[in-house]
Amino acid sequence: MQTTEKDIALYNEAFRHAVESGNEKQAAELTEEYTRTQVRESGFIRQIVPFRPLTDKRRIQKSLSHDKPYLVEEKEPDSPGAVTVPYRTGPMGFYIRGKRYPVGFVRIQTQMARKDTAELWTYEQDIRQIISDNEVKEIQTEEDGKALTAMEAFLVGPDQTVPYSGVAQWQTIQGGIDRNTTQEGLAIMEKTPSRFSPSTVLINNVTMREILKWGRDEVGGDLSQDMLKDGFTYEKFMKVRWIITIKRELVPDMRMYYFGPENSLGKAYELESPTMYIKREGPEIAYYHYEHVGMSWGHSGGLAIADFE
Amino acid sequence: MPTARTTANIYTHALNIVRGDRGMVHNLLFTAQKSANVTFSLKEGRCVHLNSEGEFETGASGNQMPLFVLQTESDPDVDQTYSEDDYQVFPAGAITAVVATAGVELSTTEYDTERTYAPNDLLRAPVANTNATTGGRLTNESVVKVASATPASSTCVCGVVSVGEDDHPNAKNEQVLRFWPIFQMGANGL
Repeated sequence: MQTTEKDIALYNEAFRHAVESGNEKQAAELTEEYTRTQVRESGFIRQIVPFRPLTDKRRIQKSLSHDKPYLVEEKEPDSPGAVTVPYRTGPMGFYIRGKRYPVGFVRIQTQMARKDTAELWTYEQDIRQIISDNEVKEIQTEEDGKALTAMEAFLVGPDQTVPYSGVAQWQTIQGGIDRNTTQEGLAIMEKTPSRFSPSTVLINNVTMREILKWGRDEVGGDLSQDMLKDGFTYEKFMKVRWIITIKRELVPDMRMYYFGPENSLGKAYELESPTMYIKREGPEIAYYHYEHVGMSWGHSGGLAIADFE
Repeated sequence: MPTARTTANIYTHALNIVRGDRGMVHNLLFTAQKSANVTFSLKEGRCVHLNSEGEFETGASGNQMPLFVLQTESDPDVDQTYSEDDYQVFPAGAITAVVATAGVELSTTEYDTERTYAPNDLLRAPVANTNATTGGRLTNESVVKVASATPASSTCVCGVVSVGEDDHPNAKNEQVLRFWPIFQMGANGL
């Protein structure tokens, strides 16, 4: 739904009224409604690993040595395979065990913003934008950054072998970004024992321009003309979903992050969805945003990185 | 045959803000990562200072501002664990501590329990990054105040005993030391 200037002015007036009448809860609700919309649209990691609300609190594990919440997740166990045997040979045996991994929880929060309410009267611009967008985007950026930092550590380092797979899942590929090198990048994940194919590729908007440079012979057919005219508008390209981010401080130029099917990656949960704390003391209001989330990469087989040089 | 549990319980390592707690939103806190120079798992209630990299190391000396840790490093809101085939995204190892200049009274389990403490005893916390017993643990032993006969030997003082040893508020068999955190600079390295 398009937001008009009249909507903005009405919203600002409603927000001022709520704060001035001491109705902090209403003020929080006015912003909270917009906060959730921004969360769904911003950030890239939530598009790759959905953050599911944890509604059944009984799943939270307990410990004798601490009282911090965490979950234990399960994953597919390995199987020993089959063998060819001669007659009079029975099977070997094993005791069934399933693999598990932890998901710990933290709060992600912004700084506390403060303002004298009298100074709010001097703003015509969209206060919703000031309150919601910037702070919530900071929360999203923190989620994105931590997820990639953990992924990079999980894959050890450029051209280093990942112990579990025995394959270097973060590779440096020479030759720039062309049709051949792009396929080499997509093949990294397929070379692991897990044999997943990438479902999603994450790159930044500057790197995407390297693909938009592809000529007719590189792309094959009129697609080159279409990309030059319309830019990159495809939901799927080379049979994978492409997520293009402007966060170059998190996703460097000439790097592609590859993600396998969603159920091969790990788990992410929300214990508390993004929430605004707002308080009024005399003429001053103070507010900040926070959320309570947990996430773990559950398996390295669905992850890969390529740096193109 | 039954065996005694050796893992710590919830009360074994604890820091409590006894007085002056204005809530986590308003308290004077500081958050940082633990330095790799600290070779043992940091426990809630230990004293730390910031090194030149902005990371926590144990104890406080010289002009190092003392802080008191609010989390145990192995707890799941701090400890980012991984195995060969999984990796936690959250947490990310951040530890929060109460700054010594906060106007509070604290109680901690992390003190030298072999000594006796009287009100107004001065406290120090040794810088001992590789000693899990003494690193950042409060003691009133060998504290030299500035206004002494040997100011050049003065130690960094990080607290003043208020009540002394006391029962943990909700674990009567656990002892804590109640004190007011302060900051008095010591001579370099002391």
